[in-house]
Amino acid sequence: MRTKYIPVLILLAVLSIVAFALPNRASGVEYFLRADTVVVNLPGGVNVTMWGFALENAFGETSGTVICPGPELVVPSGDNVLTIHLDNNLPEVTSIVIPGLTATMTPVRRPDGRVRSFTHETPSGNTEAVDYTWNNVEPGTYIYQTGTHPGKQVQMGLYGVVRKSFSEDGSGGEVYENVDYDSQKVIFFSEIDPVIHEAVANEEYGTGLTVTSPIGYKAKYFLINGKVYENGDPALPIGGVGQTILLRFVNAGLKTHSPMVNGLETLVVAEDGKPYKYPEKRFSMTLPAMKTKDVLIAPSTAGTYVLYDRRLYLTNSGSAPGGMYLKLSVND
Amino acid sequence: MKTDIFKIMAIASTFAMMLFAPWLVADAKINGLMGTSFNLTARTGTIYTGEGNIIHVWGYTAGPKMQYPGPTLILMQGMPVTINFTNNLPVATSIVFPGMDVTATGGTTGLLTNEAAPGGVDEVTYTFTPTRPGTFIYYSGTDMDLQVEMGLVGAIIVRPMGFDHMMPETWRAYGHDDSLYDHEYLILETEMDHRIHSLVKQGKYNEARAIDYFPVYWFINGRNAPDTMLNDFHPLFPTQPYGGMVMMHPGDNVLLRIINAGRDLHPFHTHGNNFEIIARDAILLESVPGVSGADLKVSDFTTSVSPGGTEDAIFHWTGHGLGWDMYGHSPEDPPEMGEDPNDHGKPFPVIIPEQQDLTFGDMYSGSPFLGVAGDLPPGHPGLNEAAGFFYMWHSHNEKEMVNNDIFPGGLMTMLVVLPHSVPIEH
Repeated sequence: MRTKYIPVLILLAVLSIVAFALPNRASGVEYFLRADTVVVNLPGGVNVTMWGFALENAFGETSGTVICPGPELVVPSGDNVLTIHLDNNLPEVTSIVIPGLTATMTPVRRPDGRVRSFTHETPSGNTEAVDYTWNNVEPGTYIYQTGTHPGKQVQMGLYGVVRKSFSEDGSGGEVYENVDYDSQKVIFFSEIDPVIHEAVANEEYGTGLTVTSPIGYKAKYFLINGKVYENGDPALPIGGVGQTILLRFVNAGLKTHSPMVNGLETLVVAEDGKPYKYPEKRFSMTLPAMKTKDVLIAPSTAGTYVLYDRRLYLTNSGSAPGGMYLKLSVND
Repeated sequence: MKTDIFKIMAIASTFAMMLFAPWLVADAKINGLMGTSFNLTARTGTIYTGEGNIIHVWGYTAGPKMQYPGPTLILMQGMPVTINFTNNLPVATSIVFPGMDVTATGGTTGLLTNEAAPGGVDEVTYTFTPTRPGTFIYYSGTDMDLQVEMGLVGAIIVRPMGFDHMMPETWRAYGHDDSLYDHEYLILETEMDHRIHSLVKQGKYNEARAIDYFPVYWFINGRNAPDTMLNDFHPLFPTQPYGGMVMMHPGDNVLLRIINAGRDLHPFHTHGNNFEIIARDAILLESVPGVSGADLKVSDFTTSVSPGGTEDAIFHWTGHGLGWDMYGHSPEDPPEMGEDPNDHGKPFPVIIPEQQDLTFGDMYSGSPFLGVAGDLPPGHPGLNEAAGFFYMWHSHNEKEMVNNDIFPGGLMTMLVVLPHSVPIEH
């Protein structure tokens, strides 16, 4: 080795030490989310104003698509820390909470003392990102949702899924320790009462206005993965014969749903991100509001399997078939 | 005035229940169709509600008349089953069998399974082999939001290997002795919004769907209380063959096969004692499948079965904890069969007033003791001839204990504990 490279090597060594001395970015994952308004088209020419999230590369960007439910936030197996940098383009303050994950909560109160937000708020039109951090993300399936005025903002659509596996191996891994899967899909249940959305869009929601609260909530649209069922919908590919397929059931609606998969039984392995000591083989289940359940299926035959809500929310504003049917395709 | 008429009808119905005092012909088996081959048809018909209303219903049947719920299919583990299905409804329909690996042939392909066309013009054949014992359900797999509501539901019981109806020592729900029972009962829960049924009768399917669903009738085995307390195949209910009266002797193990065939949760509550849930969706609650028995069973007094799901529970009652001898024994008397020894010979804690100082309920036997019929005043109907103990079992969503807003009714029945001297036939 020639001596003239030694200063370069020293410099590299110093830089690497400095790099290691800096806060360990590799132990955390961060997402830039933009909360914003989006118009969702429903069957029958119905357009509903929703609030959702877009995934951005940096704060202030608006290149992402606002979707509802929001983007899937994946926490890699090796990471414990999740940070969301929030950009709020909604007409009012908002925030983000994740039931089931611990965080330092700093509630914000109204002048009369009632809680308005479960934790610190992001003002409307914020000029720099407001950060939400969870330092101990355990493997599991969780819902992130607004922590502000949840009676209004949750049903407006401010929710999404956070998922983490115990280990990852290509498309498979262990969802929890020793609970293996070959492929996975999130199955996200939500609902829309268009009356409330219209009132919010027209600034007719609130005290003394057309709609004063969600007390009269009557969902007319029942969605899986952000979509109501319509005749001719393509099937969602979920994996192949011989595979163990993880379905992460999530309910951000206000009603209890009862997912069943026609022709298959499910092995329920966890609830709210907590693994069962003894997984339950079931053909029925309840999925209450804000509940997550992780289930495994292992189809032995290729084909299309129809998942449906046995609470029978299977219409689009009274028109059938619709609502919470979802075709799942299993290949050979 | 309409309400008054309903009240009168409800009272009349209650009297009818009493006239046919069910426990005197105590029939404790689950009635249904046994075999491996069934011909089922979906038909329209009417049912009677507890307060005397008539509702247009769609149901499965093996005969010329619609029935609600459909026939309970009693199958044997491992024996292949064939169901030939025709459809006399005005719309296409089908059957799905959760937990079964079904092959469907014939008819036309629907979203979930093969469907039979209206008018009985074709036939669909469903075949499957029940690989495990337990309690299952079947229901329409076509336009379920409407058709399940209309009544297209039924129960399936799969007997475990070695089960012999003639040999009580083989009466297990599952392969393990933790599921041994003395009597078994079906509790199939449903609900109805009768406005939907009226619109469907008029062929207004879209209007029926557009209704804000608001059920006002709740059923056990297709009947509302008090009709649940009448026998199976009672002539007053030609399309509702299955009763829901639960009978047992002290010390018996009663198997409850609880099915939620409706869409809402019905918190089913037993008075008298806790039950132990030993299985869900026909899977014994055990830590090591096939080995450990129901070691994960859950003791509870209320259970909300998932819509489309089933639970099996064992209910046991000895009178334990009463604090007095329910037979009125003296300490030196020999114990009764199944008696809890802790209370043997303990005196009744109340001095029973003279007859002229008492008000007599119709179901009072004349004494507080099991199987001891005491003196009753002249004119008393003497409805509790066997001197049994009655406990109400019901949905603890209290509004479900009415028939279209008239109490009592709905998802409610009675447990009657009978003295061992009164046989319970199977």
